[in-house]
Amino acid sequence: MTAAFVLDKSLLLDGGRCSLALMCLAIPGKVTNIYGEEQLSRMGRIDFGGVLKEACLAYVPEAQIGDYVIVHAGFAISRLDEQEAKKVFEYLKEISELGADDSQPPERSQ
Amino acid sequence: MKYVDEYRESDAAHRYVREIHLATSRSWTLMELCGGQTHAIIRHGLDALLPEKIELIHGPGCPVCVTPVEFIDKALTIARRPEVIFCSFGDMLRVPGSSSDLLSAKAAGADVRIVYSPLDAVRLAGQNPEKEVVFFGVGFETTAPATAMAVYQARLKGLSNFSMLVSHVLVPPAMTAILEEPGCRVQGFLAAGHVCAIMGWQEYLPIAAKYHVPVVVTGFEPLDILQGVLMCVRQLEQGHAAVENQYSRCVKPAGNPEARKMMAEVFKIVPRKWRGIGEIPESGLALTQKYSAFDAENRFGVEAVSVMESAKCQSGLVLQGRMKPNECPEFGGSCTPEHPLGATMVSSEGTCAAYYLYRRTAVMSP
Repeated sequence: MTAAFVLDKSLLLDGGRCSLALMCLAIPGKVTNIYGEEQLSRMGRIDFGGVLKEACLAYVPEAQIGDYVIVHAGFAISRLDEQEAKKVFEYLKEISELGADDSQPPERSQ
Repeated sequence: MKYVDEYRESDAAHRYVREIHLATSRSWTLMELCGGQTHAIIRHGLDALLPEKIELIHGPGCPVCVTPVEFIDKALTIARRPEVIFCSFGDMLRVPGSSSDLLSAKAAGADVRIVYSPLDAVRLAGQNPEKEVVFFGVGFETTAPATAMAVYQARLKGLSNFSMLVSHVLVPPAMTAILEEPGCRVQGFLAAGHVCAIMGWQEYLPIAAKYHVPVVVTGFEPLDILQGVLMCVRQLEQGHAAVENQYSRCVKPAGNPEARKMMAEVFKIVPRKWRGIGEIPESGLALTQKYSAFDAENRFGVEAVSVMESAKCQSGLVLQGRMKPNECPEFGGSCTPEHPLGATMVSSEGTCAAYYLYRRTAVMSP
C-alpha cells in the first residue's frame, strides 16, 4: 500500500460527500522537503495545513523548501508569489483612493 | 492555513461587495468558467451578495461533466478486461455511461482503482508487469501536464504495459463556441485561474478583442471571486474589453513554461466532442505520433465506440449557461447525486451537484 492510495480527507469537500479526487481543484501547500536529482523527477513533500503529501516538482524548478506551491493531481503547477498575494487587499485600497469612476485597474493588457 | 483563510476574510469581502454595488449601474451577465469557481460561489453564497443587476452564469469548466458518454463506454470496455488495472481520478467513477458506470464495473469485479496522481498509475505499471495498466486522462489544461508527464515517464522507463485513454479538453475553444452561439448572453468572463497557471492569459487576448468581452483571470477563494467580479464589472461599465489578471499570485502572463513544454512534447490539438455540447474544433488533446503506442483507444480497439446521449438530461443547456439547474424538471427528483442522469449532477465541480448540495432547501421551500 503506497501513500498515494490513502484518501486524504483534507482534500475532500464536505467531509467526502462530494468526491474523492477533485479534478481541477488545486490547493496551496508548503514545500517541506525536496528529493530527486534531475528536474523531471524532482519530487517534494508538501504540507497542506498539517497533512503531508508527496507532489511532483518538475514544473516548478524555482520552488525551494519553505515556498508555497499550488498542487493539482499530484503536481505543483505554480509557486505562489508572496508580493502578488497581497494585491487582493491592495486593490481595495487603490480603488477607494482613486475614486470609483474613472480609475484604471492594474495589470491591464490592452 | 496560509493562502486560504486570508482570502475568506469577511471584512474585505464586505468591502468588495460594497464596491461592486457602487460600480454597477446597468445589468450585466458574467460567466465563471471553472466548476471550482461555481462551487465556491454557491457554497459561500457569493451570488446572493451581488447586486440584482449582476447575474452569474455557470460555464462548462467541469472536466468530468464534459467528457462524452462514449468515453465512459470506452473506459468500461477496457476496464472490464481481465488483464487490465484501470486507474482514474475518483470523480469519474460514478459518471454514467450509456448503460453503466465505472463504480458498478468495479463492484462486478473489474480492477478499477482511484489514483491521486497519474504517476501512481505509472508506478502500478512498473509493479505489475503481467497486467495492462490504463489511466483515464481527462481534464482541462490544468491536468494535462500531469498526464503528459505520466506518458513521458512510461516511455522513458520502457513500460510497454502502460497506456492512457485520453479525453483532454481546452478552454479557449469552448469560450469561442459559447460566444458564437445565437442568443449568447455572456458579457464578461471570469477565466479559470488554474488553467491559466499553466497556459497564461495571452491566448485570451484575441477572444476579448474579437467579441469585445472582458476576461478576468480569477482565483477560487471568495475574495478572489469578488475581486474578479468587480474588475469585470468596472470594465463593462467603462466599455472596456481587456484581459486582466486577478490571480497574479499564481498566474504569470506566459503561464508555466515547463508544463507547456511537456504538453507540447506529448499532446497534439484535435477536435473533441463535449458532453451535452457536441464537437468543437481544436478543443481537445490527443497523443502525438511519437507516443501513439501509449494510446489505449488503439491498444484495445475502442476507437469506433459512439453513442447517443440521454434525451432527459439537459446538461448541455446548463453547461452553456442557458439553463439553471433548478429550472430542470428532473432536478432533485429523478436526478440526484446518488442517481444522476448526467455528469453535471455527479461531479464535485458539476453545476447541478453544487445546486443540489448547497441550494436544495432554498429551492424546495415554497
